[in-house]
Amino acid sequence: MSGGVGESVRRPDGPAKVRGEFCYAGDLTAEGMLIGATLRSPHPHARITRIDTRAARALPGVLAVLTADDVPGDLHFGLTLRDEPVLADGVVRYAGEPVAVVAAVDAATARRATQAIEVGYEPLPAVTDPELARDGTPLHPDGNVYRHVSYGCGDPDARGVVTVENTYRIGMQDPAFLAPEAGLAQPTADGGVQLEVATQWLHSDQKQIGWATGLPPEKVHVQLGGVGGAFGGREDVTLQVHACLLALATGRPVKMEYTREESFLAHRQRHPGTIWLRHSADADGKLISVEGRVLLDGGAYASTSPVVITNTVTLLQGPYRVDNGRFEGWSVRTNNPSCGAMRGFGVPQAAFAHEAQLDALAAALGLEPLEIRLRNALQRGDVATYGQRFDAPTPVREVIEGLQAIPLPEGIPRKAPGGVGRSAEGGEIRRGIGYAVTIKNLAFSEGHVDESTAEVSLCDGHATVHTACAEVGQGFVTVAEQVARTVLGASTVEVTQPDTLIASAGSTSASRQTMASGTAVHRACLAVRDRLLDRVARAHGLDAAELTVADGVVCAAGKPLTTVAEAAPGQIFRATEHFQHPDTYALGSPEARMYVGYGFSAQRAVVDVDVELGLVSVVQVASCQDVGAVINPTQLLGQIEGGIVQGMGLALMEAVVVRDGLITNPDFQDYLIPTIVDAPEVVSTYVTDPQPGMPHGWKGVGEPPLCTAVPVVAAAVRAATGLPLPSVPIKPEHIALGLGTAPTVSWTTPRPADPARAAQVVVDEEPRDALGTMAEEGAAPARH
Amino acid sequence: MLLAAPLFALPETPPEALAALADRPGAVVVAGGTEVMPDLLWRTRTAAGFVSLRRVAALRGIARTDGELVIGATTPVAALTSAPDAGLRAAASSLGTPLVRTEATIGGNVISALPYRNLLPTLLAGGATLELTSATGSRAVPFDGFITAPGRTGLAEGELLTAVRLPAHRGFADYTKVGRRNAQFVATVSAAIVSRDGGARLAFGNAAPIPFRSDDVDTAATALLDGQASAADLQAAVAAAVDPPEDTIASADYRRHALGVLAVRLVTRAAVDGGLGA
Repeated sequence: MSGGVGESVRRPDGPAKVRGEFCYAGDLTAEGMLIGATLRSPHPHARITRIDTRAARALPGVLAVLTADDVPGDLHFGLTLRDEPVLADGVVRYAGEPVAVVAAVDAATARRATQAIEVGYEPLPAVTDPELARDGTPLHPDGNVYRHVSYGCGDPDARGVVTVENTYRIGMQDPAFLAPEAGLAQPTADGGVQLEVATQWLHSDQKQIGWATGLPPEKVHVQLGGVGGAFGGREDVTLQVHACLLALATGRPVKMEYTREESFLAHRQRHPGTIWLRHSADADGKLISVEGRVLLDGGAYASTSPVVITNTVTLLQGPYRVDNGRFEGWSVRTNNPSCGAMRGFGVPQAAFAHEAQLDALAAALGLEPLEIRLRNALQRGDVATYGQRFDAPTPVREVIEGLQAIPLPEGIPRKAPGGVGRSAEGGEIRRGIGYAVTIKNLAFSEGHVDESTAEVSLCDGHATVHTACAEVGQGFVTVAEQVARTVLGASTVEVTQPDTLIASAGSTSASRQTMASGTAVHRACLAVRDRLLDRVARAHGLDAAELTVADGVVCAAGKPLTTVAEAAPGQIFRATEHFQHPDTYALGSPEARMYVGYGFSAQRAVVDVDVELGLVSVVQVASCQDVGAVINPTQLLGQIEGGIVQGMGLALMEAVVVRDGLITNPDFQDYLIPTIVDAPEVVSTYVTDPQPGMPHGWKGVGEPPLCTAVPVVAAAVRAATGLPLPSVPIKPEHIALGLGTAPTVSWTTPRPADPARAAQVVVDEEPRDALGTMAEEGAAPARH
Repeated sequence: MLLAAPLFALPETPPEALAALADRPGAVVVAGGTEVMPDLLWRTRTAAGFVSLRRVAALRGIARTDGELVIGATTPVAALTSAPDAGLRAAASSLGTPLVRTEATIGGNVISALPYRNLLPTLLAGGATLELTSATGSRAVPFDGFITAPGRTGLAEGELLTAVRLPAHRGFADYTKVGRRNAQFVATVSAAIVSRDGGARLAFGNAAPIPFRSDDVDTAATALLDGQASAADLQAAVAAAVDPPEDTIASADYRRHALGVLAVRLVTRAAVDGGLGA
C-alpha cells in the first residue's frame, strides 16, 4: 500500500506552509471580532496598591476591561500547583505578569486602553538568585520550593581510583517558536465558549478555562488553530483563559495575538540551572559512584517545575550503569520568568553535565571517549539509580557502535567559524571532535496517566481519523494517515483538526504522541477493519477469520476478493478506541516504576573553532538513535535535524538574558537562534529494536536528539580548545579569554561499596502523591 | 501606521524632498525603512510625519568620478555588494539578510549613527566624505567626526544626506566582523582597513561610542605591515586606544581583545593579499 508505515509520506499541510497559505492561529478571524490586549507588570516583584480602569473603560471602542476582580470562577490556574493567578492578585511576581486584559474594536484601541489603565505599584525586592530564594522569605503563600528530591542507591561513599567533580551551568533557552501565541474565542449559544488556539494540549486548556470561567467542561470547546512551532512553550496556558473571559464578558468573538516581545514574556522557558557532579571510577573507567546536586530556577510560578526537577535529578546517571549514588535537587520559585516544559524537559541540563564528567574521567584515565561510555553502557536488566529495572531493549552499546560506523567528514569545510563576517581569514582554525550519549525518558512519568483516544471511520476506502492530539509540526498527521493506510487499506485519509469533542490525547510533548495517540489510532483502525471484514464475510458467506487486508485489497485465504474501497459501498464503519500506557509511580514508590520507557542517542560532533576569537562552526553532527521503528524516514530525519540544531543553539548561542528579573533580549535581534548558515551537516542512522507493547515497535524520537546535541557540541569545542567550558551557551569570550573552571581531578584510594548498603534505593522523603493537580486530570503531577 | 501618519510626503526629486522636509518640522526621513519601521513597531521612535526618499531616483546609484566613488544616499546595500571597492563589498555582503540588504540604504546606515553599523568602519578607514544638501546648497563634510554620539550626527535641521563620497584607491581594502552566530548578526565588534603606499589605516565598529580610528593604531599597523613591529604590538596599541561597551552580548574585555585580533588579521591580509609589506 503506497503511503503506509515506513514510507516518507508528505505532510498534508506542507504545500500550504511552503506557499505561505497555511492558516496559523494568528490568521483567524470572525465577523464582529474584537481584539484583546494584555497589560503586563513592568516590575519583577511589586505590590499592587490600586488599579483604576475607569479611563480605559471610557475610551470609545473599548468593550471590556478585566482585572482579577472580574474573574467569575477560580482565580488560580497552573499545570501542577495551581499557584498562578489568571490576572495579578494584589502582587506581581515577574516582569510581564498579566494585570488586566481589554477587548476593543481594533488593536490600536485595545493597546491605548491598556495604557489608560492606572496601576499603582509598590516595588518589592526582586529575588532573582535561586539559591537565595530557596532559603529565603516566601514569595508566595505556597513557598519557594516547588519540589525537593533526594535519594541514594547502594553505597554513595564508594570510591574508585579517580574522582572528578565540577559545577556546570545551563542558561535559559526560549522555545523560540516562530508563530507567536494566538487564539480566537467566541461565546456559544448555550452560554459557553469556544476557543480556537495554537496549543499543545487541548484538554488542559479546556480544564483551566473551566476553572476561571466557572463553566463545566461541556460548555468549553477547544479546537486546535494552526500551530507554528511549540517545543513545550505552548503547554502552559498563556492567552487561552484571557480570550475566553473577554469573549464571555463582551458576548463577541475576541482574538488575541501576542507580539514577539510578549511571547518571550508570557510563555515558559527552559529551566536554567546549576548542577554539581562527582564521579568516581576504577582504573578501567568503570563507574563506582556518582553524586549529584541540582538547583533549577523555576521562576515566579510552578508550571511543571515540580516534574522537571525529577527528570534532571534521576537522569544524572546518564545511559550508564551506576550502582552507588546520592542525588538531590530543588526547583525553586524566584522573581524571574517562569520556566516549564521545553523539548527535553530537564534532561538536556543533566546530559550536558554528565557527559562533561564522562569526558573528564576518560581524559584522566587515558581512555577514548567512546571507550569509557561502552564500558559503562546500560544494558537490559540493569537497575536505575531510582530503582526501576530497564526491562525493554536498552541499546546503549548499539547506538554507540552505530555511531562509530559513520565515517568522519572529508574535505575542506564549507563554512569557516565567523561565517559571513569573514573573521577567520588570517587566523588559525582548530578542529575538534566530541562525543555524547544520552538517555531520555519517553512519555508522562511518575503516575501521571498517559493515554489517548482515537475515532476512526471508513467509507468507500476513505478513512477519517479524529483525535485530540495537537499537531504542532511534529508529524502526527502523517503517522495517523500511514497507520490508516497500512491497517485499514484506506485509499485516502483525512486527519481532522483536533478538538475537545473527543477524549483527551494528553499533551503533544514528552516524545509521546506516536506512542499514545498513534497506538490509539492503530487500535481504532484494527476495530474498523474487523467490522469491515465481518460485513464482507457475511456478504460472501465466508469466515471473517480467513479475511485479511493488504495493500487496499481484501483477501480470502490469501486470494484477492475485493478492494477495501469497493467492499461495502456507502457503508460507514466506525470505532473509537483508547490506549493507556501501564501505570507509573512516584519516585520512591515500592513499584519502582517512574517511567514508561526510554530513548537512547549517541552523537559525534565535528567543529572548527577560531580559538583566538572564540567562534565556532559546527561542521557535522553524526547521530545514531534508538527509535524503535522508522515510521516516516523524512519526518524522522526532520526531528533529528531539528533537535540537533536546537540543541546546538543552546550549546552556542541561545540564552534568555535576565537582569534583575527583566528579560533584556525579548526579540530575535538579540535572542539568537541558529540560521541555516550555522546548521551543520547531519548524518543520521538508527537502531531499530522494537519497543514492546507498541505497534510496529515504535517509540518517541523528538527529544533525544536535542538532549545529545547540547553536550556533543560542547565536547567538540572542548576537544578543539582544551578548555573546560563548564557552561552553556558557550560564549566567544569563554573560549577567547579562557573563562570557566576545570573539573577537579583527584586520585583516590579505592573504597569498595559496603555490601550492606548495596542495591537498594533510599528516598529521603516519602513519595508525595499529591504535589498538586495536573491541569487536565487531577492525577499526580509527575510525568514526562 | 505609516500611511495613517498625519504628514507623509513622497517626493520625486531632491529639491522636492528638501521642500517636503521644510514643510514638515519633526518629520522622519525614511528610505529603506529597515531602521525606522522596527523602531516604530517597537515604539522606540515617534514621528510627527515622514518624508520618504524611495521615489527620489537621483539619490540612488553609484558613479565613478575622478578619484572618487559617489554613492547616492538611498543606494541599497545590495548594490554595494558589487561596488568597485573591496571594503564596501565586504561590509555590505555581511549586513543582515538578502531581504534587508535589498531595502537598507547606505544613507540610513550612516544616519542611524550606531557604532556597530556595518558600513561605518569602511567609510571611516576609507576617508569618506558626506554630501549634505539643504535649501541653500550643498556642503561636503568628512565622515570622520560626523557622528558625535550614538544616534547623533552633525546633520543640520532641514539638511539631507544626499551622497557618500569614497576616495578610489589602488591599495588593499577589507572589512570583517565578529558576532555570536555565522550569519544575520549585529557586529559584536568589527574592523576595516585601507592599505596603500605601505601604510595602513584601520577603523573599528563597537570599539567606542562612535565609529573609531586612531593614529596610534595606524602607526602600529603600518609598523606591522613593514615588519617593524609584532602582532602583539598592534594588539596592545588597539587595546590601549579603544573604549568598547560592556553589555550582555560581550564583555568589554572580550571586545578589546577581539578588536586587536581583527586588526592583526586585516593587516595580515593586507600583507598577503595586497602584495604589500613584507
